[in-house]
Amino acid sequence: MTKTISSRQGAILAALLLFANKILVLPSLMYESSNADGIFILLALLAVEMLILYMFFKVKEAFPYQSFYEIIKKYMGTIVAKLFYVLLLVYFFFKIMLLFNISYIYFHIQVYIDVAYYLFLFAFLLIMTSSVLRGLRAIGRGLEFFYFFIIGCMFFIILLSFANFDKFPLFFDSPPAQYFKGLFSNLFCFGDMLVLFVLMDKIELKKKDEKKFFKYIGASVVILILIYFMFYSIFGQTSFIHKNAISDIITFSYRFIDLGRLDIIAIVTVMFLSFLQLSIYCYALCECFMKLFSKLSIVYTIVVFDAIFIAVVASSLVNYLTVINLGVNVMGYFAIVLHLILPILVLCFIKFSHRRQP
Amino acid sequence: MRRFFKTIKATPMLLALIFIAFFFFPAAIIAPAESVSNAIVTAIGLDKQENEYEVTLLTFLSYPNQSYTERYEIFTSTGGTLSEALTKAGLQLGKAVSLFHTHTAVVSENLLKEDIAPALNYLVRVASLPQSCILIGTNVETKLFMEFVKELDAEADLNLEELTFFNSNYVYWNDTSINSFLQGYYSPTETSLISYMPLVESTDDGIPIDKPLQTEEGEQGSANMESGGSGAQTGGTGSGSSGSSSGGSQSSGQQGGQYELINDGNEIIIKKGKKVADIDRDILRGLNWFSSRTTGAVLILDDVNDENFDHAQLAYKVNQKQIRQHFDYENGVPVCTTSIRLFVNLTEVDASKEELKKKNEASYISDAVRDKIEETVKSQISGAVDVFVQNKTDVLEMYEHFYRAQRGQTKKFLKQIGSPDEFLSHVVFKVVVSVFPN
Repeated sequence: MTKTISSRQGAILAALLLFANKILVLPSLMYESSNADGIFILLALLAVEMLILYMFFKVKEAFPYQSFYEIIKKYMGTIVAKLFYVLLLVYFFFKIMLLFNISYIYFHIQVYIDVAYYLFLFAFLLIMTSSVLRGLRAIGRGLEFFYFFIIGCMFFIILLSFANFDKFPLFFDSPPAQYFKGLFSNLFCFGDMLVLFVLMDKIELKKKDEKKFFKYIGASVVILILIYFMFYSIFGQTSFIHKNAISDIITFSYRFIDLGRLDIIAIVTVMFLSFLQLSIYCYALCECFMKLFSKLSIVYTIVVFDAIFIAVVASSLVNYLTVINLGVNVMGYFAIVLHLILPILVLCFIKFSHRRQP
Repeated sequence: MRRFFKTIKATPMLLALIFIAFFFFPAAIIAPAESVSNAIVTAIGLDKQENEYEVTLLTFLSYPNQSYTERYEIFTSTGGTLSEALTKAGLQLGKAVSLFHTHTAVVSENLLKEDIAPALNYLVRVASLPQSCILIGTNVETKLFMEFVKELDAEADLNLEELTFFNSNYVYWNDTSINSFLQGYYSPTETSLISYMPLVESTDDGIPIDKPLQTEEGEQGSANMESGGSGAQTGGTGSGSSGSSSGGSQSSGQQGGQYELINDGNEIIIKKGKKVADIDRDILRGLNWFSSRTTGAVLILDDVNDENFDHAQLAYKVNQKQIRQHFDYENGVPVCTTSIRLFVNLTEVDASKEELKKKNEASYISDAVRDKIEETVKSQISGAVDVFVQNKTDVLEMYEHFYRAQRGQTKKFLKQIGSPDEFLSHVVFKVVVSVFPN
């Protein structure tokens, strides 16, 4: 029991994870692909997230005490289970790389222009490692502790951004092909609810708790939509220049010059969010790793992860630009595969579980 | 020691704290203060001289002193590219040039002869210049302008930031920040407005300073000391520092020009990043009737004849205005109907003694006054629109407004006329003015 988190902590985990990779560079990338209609891509991809969440509830309902790995193994065999978890492992690793690089560039530009990449690496790695070692319950408590602060800051940022509201964004101005292109190229930044499947057996969930999830996630969805709406309304044609959406919507205005750097609110919010999101992803990745190599303990797992992470970063194989290029061009295919496999698997499991019932 | 290791084993986070204490704290303590390694630039001037960019930085330098005065220095450097010029400025300063706190960017008319967007694009995207920074055009070299601004701050405690902030809030039709410029630049009509503050020699209309300033021709190594191979130059506050621009000029015994800053709300129309035309206060007044943003306008009505006044001059202050615009096509022609509701106060009366006795309350208004106000507003609008039509500069963003309101018809209409640049000249303006006492 000590390794489980409550349904509230699970809901907060999902709600905060929904912001991952979406509030800094993504609005700008979406504008590049489909102008202000990027907001519709956001809505479509959030709908995909909700579908994954719904599938999670269905699986959890059918198999309340089993892990996702055990369920796949039971019905499809060890090889399929391992293969799926290898895919998830790679997926989470690139998610971490993307989130780490985007956060690094954000802090580098906004705060620590002179600070070396490695300092960030060690700061983030230290937090990820200690979070994984302390376990999911510690992460859950951390999430609960910071949740209202983060959400409060987000609402405050949106409130401030209304002072800069210029005009309604110009919607429906892109050809339909651009929508589909945008859906594909931004898909990798979504699918955060997949983490819930990996942590399935560690979340205490009763039937009525589903509402709790939708309440917390609903708040995140509203915040995301408002941020994108304000971003496109404030910047219009120049949206492609602004790579730090959440800070830019409050700092661009000359009206706030006399008040100083208001983006300190955004900086603190992104800092807490990045630490928490990276910890969750890292924990999910270690879970996948431990399922693949069941004899390894959490300490060895995290040491392996740290070594690989440092090696990849030190070799400069993956940096801000390459990771974004990978995310837009290659990882989109990866995300499609995972997002397709998952519903198929879920349908199969539910069918099997119904058959087994007398 | 054994106990220590036991504690560490039980609480591994302590290890993390020890790691931080060993590696990060000493580095943070040893690291020099940011103000030592960074020069805080509060205003930047961009100029172009003989195919070379000239960058002038009004820089805040933090020196320990016993008075409460802030110390600013001017540094100028040149380069084939802006990055080269900024690097040279950094060498000159012995510090990294930090544009995070820059509030004002000044561009010279020389630079405005060519597209300024690439330069601003570089500063915003690479050099971290905030987009909220106000953009100002000037008629002189930016170096001279900066010298003036520095002296103005020293003498009258009037700084550029306050002047531009006031203009942007209360005088101009839109904010004249870099972001606003870029939004216009990337719009279909590629048109923006930026603030214009010329320096002129000895008129009585501007803001003067006591100190004479040297122009490029007169300085020859005295006003700004050229620093050899780098091509960088420095100037100073004139408060005893070496490299002081004014100190240098005085010691050489040359006569400087007496300049005044004209801040009467003029702006420049920029199209495709280049200067197209100046717009003066009168045109700006016409433009401002399309925006509820600027209030406080004063309407001067000459020759008012009604039941109370005979050939009087009345001044009304607009305390509030409500603007509603409707964009539609009538017989295939774009028609912009603007309804303006003005709430005014009578502030000044130039009339005979008897007339002053009769009616001088602030809420006074008559049909004749209403007609006069309507006539004045319409003529100001007409004057402004004519200028924009002549220059093919859609400052009013009519194309965008029609595109938003009537997308299908605007696309069809655009096919007929060929280019968004021609759109404004086809728009019919209908203005309805309603005047109410406030």
